[in-house]
Order: sequence, then C-alpha cells, then structure tokens
Amino acid sequence: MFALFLDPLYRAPILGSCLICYAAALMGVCIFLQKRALVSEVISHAAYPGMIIGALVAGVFSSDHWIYLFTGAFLSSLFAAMFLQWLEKKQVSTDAAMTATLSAFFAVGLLFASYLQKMRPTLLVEVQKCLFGEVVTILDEHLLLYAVMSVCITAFVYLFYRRLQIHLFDPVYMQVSGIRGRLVTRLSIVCLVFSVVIGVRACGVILLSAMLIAPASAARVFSKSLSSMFVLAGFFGLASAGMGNAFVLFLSRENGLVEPVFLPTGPSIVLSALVLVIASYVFSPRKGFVMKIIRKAAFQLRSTQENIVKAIHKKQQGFSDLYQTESIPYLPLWISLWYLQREGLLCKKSGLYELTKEGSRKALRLIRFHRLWEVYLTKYMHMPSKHVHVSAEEMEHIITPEMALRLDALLESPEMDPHEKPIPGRFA
Amino acid sequence: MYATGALSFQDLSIDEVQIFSLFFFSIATGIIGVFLLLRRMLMIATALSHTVLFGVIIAFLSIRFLLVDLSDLYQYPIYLFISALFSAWITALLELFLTKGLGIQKDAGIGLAFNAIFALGILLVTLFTRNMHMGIDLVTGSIDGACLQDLRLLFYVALLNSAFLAALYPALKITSFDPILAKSLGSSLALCQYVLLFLTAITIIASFRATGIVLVLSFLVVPYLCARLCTAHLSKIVFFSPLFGSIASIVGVAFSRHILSVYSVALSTGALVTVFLFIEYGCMLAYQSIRRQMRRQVIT
Repeated sequence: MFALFLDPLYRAPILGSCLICYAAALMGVCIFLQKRALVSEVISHAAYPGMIIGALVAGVFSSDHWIYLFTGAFLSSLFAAMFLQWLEKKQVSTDAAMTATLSAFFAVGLLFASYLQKMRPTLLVEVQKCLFGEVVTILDEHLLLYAVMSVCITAFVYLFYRRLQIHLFDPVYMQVSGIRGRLVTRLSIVCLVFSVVIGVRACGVILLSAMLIAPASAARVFSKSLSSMFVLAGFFGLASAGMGNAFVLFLSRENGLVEPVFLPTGPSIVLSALVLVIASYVFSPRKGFVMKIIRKAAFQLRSTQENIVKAIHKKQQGFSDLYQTESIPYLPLWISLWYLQREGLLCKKSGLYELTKEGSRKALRLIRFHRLWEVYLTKYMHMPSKHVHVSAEEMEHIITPEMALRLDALLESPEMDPHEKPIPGRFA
Repeated sequence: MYATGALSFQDLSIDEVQIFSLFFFSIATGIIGVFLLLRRMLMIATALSHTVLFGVIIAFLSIRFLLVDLSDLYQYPIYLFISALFSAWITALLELFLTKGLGIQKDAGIGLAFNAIFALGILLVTLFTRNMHMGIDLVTGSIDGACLQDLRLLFYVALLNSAFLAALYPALKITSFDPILAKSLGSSLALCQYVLLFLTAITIIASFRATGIVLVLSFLVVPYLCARLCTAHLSKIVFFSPLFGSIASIVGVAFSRHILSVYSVALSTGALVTVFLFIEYGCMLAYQSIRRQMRRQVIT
C-alpha cells in the first residue's frame, strides 16, 4: 500500500489532497474556536459563482483557465466573507441571513453556469469538478501550488500566533488594549478564503466545510493549548485525507474481497474525518467512553485491594478463605494479591497471607477513615448508627489523608465510633 | 388535437408546466418556511436538505434493492414518505449523538453530521448507479426538464402542506410563539415539531426536480422575509409568503423563456427564479425604506 505514495499515477492526488486538507484544517481551527461553523459553508458555496465568472472571463480572453478560475473564486469568497462580517456588525447574522447568503451566491453561480454551458462547455466541466471534488486529476505541477499554500498558511499561523490567540479567544480585549489586530484579522480571512478556494478541488464546494470543522473538533479533545490544537488539527487533516484516499484506492484495485469499484474521493475523505472525530471522542482521555470504563475498572481494583488488606488485618487468611468470605471473583483476587505483595503490603507465611508493617499501617488508616466517616454521619448528618456502615464502606476508599485531617478537626478528634470501637490515631 | 375549448393537461407546453410546478412549489415552501423560521429550525432544514439524498437511497434499497433513476421516486409515493421519514430520523439521530452523546459543540456537530451523511449518500449513489452526475442534478435542480409527473408531485406536496396548515394552524401558532404556554394549554408541541420536520423533508425531496437542494433554502427563507416586511400578522404572512414565491416563479420562468427565444441562451430556470426572489426582497426593502422616509417627511 505504501508503494502507492510513490506511484506516479497516485502520488500527486494523494499528496495533493493531504496538503489541501492540512491547510483547511489549520484554518478550520480558527472557525471552530469562534463557533462559526456555518461561515465555512457560506464561504465554500460562495466560491462556486466566482469560479464560474472567472471561467466566463477566461472564455472572453481564451487563455489558460485555471488562474482565472482561482482568482474569480478567491474574489467571490472574499466578498462573501466581508459581506458576512458586515452582517455581523449590523447584528443580522442569524442562521436565516447566512442561509439566504449561501443560497443567493449559489443561485448566481448556477445562473452563470447555465450561460457558461452554452459558451464554453469544456470550462464548465472543469468547474463542475469542484462541486464534489475530483482528486484523480491532480497533477505533479499542481502539487507545487498546494505546497506553497500550505507553507504560507503554516507561516501565518506561526508568525502571528500570539495575536491570533488573542483574536480567537478575546477579540474585545484585543480591541481595547490597542494591540494591532487588524492585520491579523484580515490576514486570517484571506488565509481562510485561500484554503477554501484551493480546497474545493479535493472535497468539493458542498463538502468542504466538513474538512474545516472535523479535524478541529477531533483536535479539541486532546489539546490543552492552542498550539497543540493547531498541530493536531493539521495532523488529523492529513490523516483523514490519507485514509480517504487509501479507502478509495483499495476499492478501485484488484483485491481479494470485493469487485473493483470507483468511488469519489471527496466524500470518503469527509467520512474518514468523521470516523476520526468519533474515535477521538470515544477514546478521549478526559471524557471518553473508553477511558471512563478503564477508570472505573481501576477504581474497582483498588477498592478490592483495600478490602483484602482490611480482611487480612482482621484475621490471617489463605487464598480460598478470602475467596469465600469476601466473595471476590477469582481473577481480581489473584491480581490484587499479586499487586499487594509487589507493593510490600502483604507477605505469604506458610500458606497464609500476612500483613507487613506497611500493610498494617495501611489497614489502620483505612479503619480510621471508615470510623471517622461514621462519626461524621451520626454527628452531623444525624443518621442512625445502624445505617452508617454501608456508606463508610464506600467512603473509606475515597477519603484522602487531607480530607481525614479536616474531618478530624471538624469532629474534634473523636476517640470512639458510633459502634463503640476505638478510632486508630492519626499516626497509627 | 381538436379545438374543443376545453384544456387538458396533456396540452400544456413546457413553460406552463414549469410555471404551474413552481407555483405549487412556492406554495409548499412558503407555508413550511414561515414556521421553520419562526421556530428557528433553519439549521435543521439546511441539514435535512443534505441528508435527504441518503434517505432516498435507503428507501430505495429497503424496498427495491436496486436504485435505477431518481424519476422512479415520483411514480411511487411510498418511496417519498419512507425517504422523508428516514432522512428526518437519521438527521436528528446523528445530530443528537454528536452533540449530546459525544459532546461536540452544537454548530460544529450539526455541520459535521449533515455533511457526513451527504457524503455517505454520494458514495452510495455512485456505488449503486455508477453515475456521479446524479449528485450534480440534485444540486442544480432540473425544472428545465419538468414533466407532468413533476407537476403532479408538486401539486400533491403543496396540497399536503396546505392541509397541514389548515388542520394544525392554531396549534402551530401557539407552539411557534410560546412553547411554554402551549404546553400548559395542552397543545401538542411534539406533534407539530415532528410533522413539520417530516413535511420539510418531503418538500426538499420534491425540490429535487424543481430548484435543487441548495436553492430550496432560499425558497424557504426569502418569501417569509418579504412577507414579514409587509405585515406582522401570522395569517397574512402565511398568505403572502407563497404569493411572493409565486410572483418570483412566474416572472422567472417568463424571463427565462424570453432570454431563450431572443438570445437563444438556455439559462437555468431554477437559478433565475431564485435570483428574482432576491430581487423581489431587495425591492421590498427599498420600498419599505422609501415609505419610511416619506412618513418621516410627512411628520416633520
């Protein structure tokens, strides 16, 4: 599969789409953080009429077309971006206004497209490629343009990082503190339009806004700072382009599974991006589903270990005794015992487990937390003493030494718990 | 044909078919658009406009297992209903999953959801029909190739939306403006919401053969904005909104025909009608501001 990256037929499309999606992802971070995902839709749809008008102009001059297309698209997207800013200043930037703008630009584009169809049908074919993106026809000479664009956008983000940071997170402060921000805001719009206009080649006008939002969403999960977010978003953009291309190429060649079929690349890139986003959120280290399960299991294991320590403190037991009396399943029991021995809290003497000095200290600590909590519940929560044991059984695993100090101070160093048992001292 | 003095549907020329189709189309979108905007459901409508493609494919797959041509859609209304239901359902589902289940921020979640479903729809279309141009037809609309079946379809959709309006008008009025009062009065909030979503999906699917999925959004938004400039009464807005849409349709089709006959350039009628819709809005804005100026002059 990696040979495909060097294959002269495929390397330009793959590298080209990777560069395009990388640049789009970088600017997408700005859009994402400003919570204006609809803006990317409007700008990408606005590129369409510009391309058509550029093609018409090119038809008048009968010359090399792509520079006209590009300039036309750039100007019309820029115009749309500035129009949206004007709308925002006038406080009209509701969903309705943006949808109407999107539709208006597209209607003008379609109108001129029908005219172009009569005048220069070949040019129209070129432009229609940009509706859904056509990666297959990217050539080596286009790669230079995309590389230059990626470098420019990376340079912009790197050089203006500080001011971009302030602009994204606190634009009011930027205005008030006199930091020269107008250059940054204008350049960021220009870069956004630049990346969109080039990016419609890969994903198409209709789907490009997903390539702006998705890598940024995925990066948001793992990043704690703006710089890491930019890096990760760029990486995810590259990755989704790579995965999309790999998927399409895999299906289009002879493989052992299914018949070769040719799928468009733009949609597969978008779907790979979606998969990346979902995977990021599922495996997120803070709120992810997978990490929640892992953390829960780790906590259960730790509680099991502490229960074992308490049980052995009460009475020295062997493995099967523990298995029966504490009703702990076999595997967690085995793992806990192994871990406790490794930590030096347990040692085995003639088939029975015994606590070491560390172990008994820990057991006494646990008992202290347990009984402190029971006193707290009876004294402050006025719970009857026969009900406090269950809650204390759970809380003893959660109370930290600092919390115990505070409880101690609050309860004025109690000596006895509600069941008339002594509370082990602070330095047991 | 003998001159009997009676007009039959077979005798309509293509222009007249177009005018009638767009007339029914503006009734359908005008009615639905008013309530979509009042309930701020426009983002969902944009999302639906992209996901109906996927819904259509699934409907075909579930019934017939082979997607042949989008015109089959109109011969069997059952396809239409299942597609609309499925699109509305999957849009709401995916959006809920992304924003509430995973925790992505709201606008990014919706944008991602509908783009991804649209991408999936395009992939499936290409897979089953080996024809990528179907996607382009969806986007540009094909009112220029309007035939009687489209007219019939748009008529039924307009009828459906009008019936919805007539039947649920009081409930719609209350639930759009004051959901809390509606709940306390016992009006069915959920019913209005779901029926509205379902009908939006049907209207958008009907627009495949009218203006295309992007331009239908302007048909949903702009007539309401024009009507809103005229009046603030809901009953009048609901009447004026299809009216503005129809005016734009008739003028647009006439203009397109004129350009075709005089300059022999075949412009896309759907796009032309949309542009006239915006010109209409511009005229209304200008008219309102002139009236305001004159009123100010009279006072001072």
